[in-house]
Amino acid sequence: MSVESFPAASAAPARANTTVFHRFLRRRMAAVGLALVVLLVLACALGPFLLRHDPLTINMRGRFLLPFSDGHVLGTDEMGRDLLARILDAGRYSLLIGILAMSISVFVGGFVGIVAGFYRGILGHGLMRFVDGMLCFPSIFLLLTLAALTSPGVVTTTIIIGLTAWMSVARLVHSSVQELCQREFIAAARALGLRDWRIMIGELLPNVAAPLCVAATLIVARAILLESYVSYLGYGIQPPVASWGNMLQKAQQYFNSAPWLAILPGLMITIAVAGFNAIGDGLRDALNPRGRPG
Amino acid sequence: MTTPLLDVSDLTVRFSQDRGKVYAVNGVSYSLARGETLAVVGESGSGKSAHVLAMPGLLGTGRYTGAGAAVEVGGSAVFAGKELIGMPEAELRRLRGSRIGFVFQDPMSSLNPVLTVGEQIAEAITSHGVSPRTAEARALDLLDIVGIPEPRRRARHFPHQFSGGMRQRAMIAIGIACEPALLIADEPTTALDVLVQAQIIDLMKDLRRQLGMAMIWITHDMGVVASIADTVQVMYGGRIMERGPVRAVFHDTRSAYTWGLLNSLPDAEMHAPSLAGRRPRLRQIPGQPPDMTQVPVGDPFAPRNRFATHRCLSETPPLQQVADGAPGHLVAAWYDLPQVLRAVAHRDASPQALTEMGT
Repeated sequence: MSVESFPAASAAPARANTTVFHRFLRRRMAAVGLALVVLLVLACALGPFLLRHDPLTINMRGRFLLPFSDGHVLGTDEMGRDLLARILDAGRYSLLIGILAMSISVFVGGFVGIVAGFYRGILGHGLMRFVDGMLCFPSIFLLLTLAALTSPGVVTTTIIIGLTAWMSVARLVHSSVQELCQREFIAAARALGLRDWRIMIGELLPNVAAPLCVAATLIVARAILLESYVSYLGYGIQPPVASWGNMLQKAQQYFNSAPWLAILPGLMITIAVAGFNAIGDGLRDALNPRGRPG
Repeated sequence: MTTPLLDVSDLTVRFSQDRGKVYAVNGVSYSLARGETLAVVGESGSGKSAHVLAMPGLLGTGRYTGAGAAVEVGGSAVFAGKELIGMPEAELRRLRGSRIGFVFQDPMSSLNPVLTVGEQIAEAITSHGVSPRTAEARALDLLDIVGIPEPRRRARHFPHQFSGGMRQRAMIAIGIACEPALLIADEPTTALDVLVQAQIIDLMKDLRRQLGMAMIWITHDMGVVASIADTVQVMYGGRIMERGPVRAVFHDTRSAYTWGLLNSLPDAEMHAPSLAGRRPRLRQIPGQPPDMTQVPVGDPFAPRNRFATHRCLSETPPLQQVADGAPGHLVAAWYDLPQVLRAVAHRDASPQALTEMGT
């Protein structure tokens, strides 16, 4: 039997030897998304060091300056603070919260989902009913209840958002693990004498990695928005420290007179969310070994 | 006589479901010598897979039982001097994959789609305490042993880049990775086309000789049985109906069920137009497989057996040595099949009429 005559085998080498990263970059949207997010992260991380304006310096004589006026590239806000400096500084918190909250919910949700899907029985059902219970609370109220019980700050906000967003991940992972456990390769893994944790980490996790990545990027986007809700209601990131959420919230009362104050943070949220979503889509395809480029 | 590798006695398997119990395996006893190849034959639901998978504690996983079914395994199965039934899961796990290897039916679904073939073979080895580096080298050797060309390149491929036969070769590599004393093959050639089947069977024969391992080959393909097995065991309704050396069972059949199975095989003769211009019909066994949710009474095949007596319906026949048969040829039947067949043949004067009577 000639191996070369088999189409999958002859088409395979080019693909088999490329890494996930290569396959990821071959998708244009994913590459653009990654570029946007990297740019955003670099700008927020390094930008404040390069600007001569401090995000917290108030200048009551230079309020509501239009963009490109008086050395303020994006103008100033209702207290005369430089908008660019504030947006970049706020981005640090918003992105950090988004990414950390995503990590928490992916870790917790992934863990609960895999364990509950793998061990059905009392443990699995118990865990999933707990997830259902948590989902019964509208997440905003859950968020606010938790926020009211803790002192506001970056760390608590991150943890709270992470702990209110993991349920959807758990459900997603749980359902695909349940389906995977019906497949013969899990029986085969048991037949090999693999320990349970090795089946969960070595066999199941790689199979749910693709949906998990997509869910993760959606959660980054959601976490950035959730943070803005929380800030809006007075919890979360406390003024004068800026986050995209609380900037947007402050700006709405000046929307008629100074629309750029709302549009610019909103644009940043949009870019970040869209960028992460594009990364998610790209990862989903790149992580699938059958995925075709383009 | 040396001690057998596997000694099964009165093995029972029950599945408890919402709607009651399923009596899957009802008292199966036999032994398997080192290096012996046993073919277990029977139709779906005959207990052939269930009884074999129950021993290493693999029931209740995957496709073999529905979700939520509780499995009760009774009786005894002694493997290399150790009792498997009731053995703690941790100890069973150490046996699985190292001393008892497995090859599953469907090579499409038995390999993890997102791990490379090399990783999966190496995993079989590292799970029993071998370092990853050694395992990797061994995985390449194994790919070579099972006849996969360019092992170094192929090890980096994912299962979907392999053809069906190649995948089954990879599964076999995983099954023999730790040189088990017993290889359990659950219909390993069923999902393959006939040419590939023959290649896989040849490969398994070679490996059996090289490694000196015993095999339990679960199948419903009589052709496969004839080409690989030393002993054949025909199962029906969770019981052994007939068991013995392949030649004896095939040429001196004593169970009406085995006889029905052998007669239901299509052969080349059937496809040649007969003189009357009419092709004979494919012979089948009339009736339905037994309802396994009932407490078994009598000979399970009796309701479908034209030769059944009243005794068959009420009393379960024991599995006994055939009086005038080859040594080791056992049958569970109250009737004497050769005698019954002679009587019927005499009455109808035509063996063809006999086989068509029931259809």
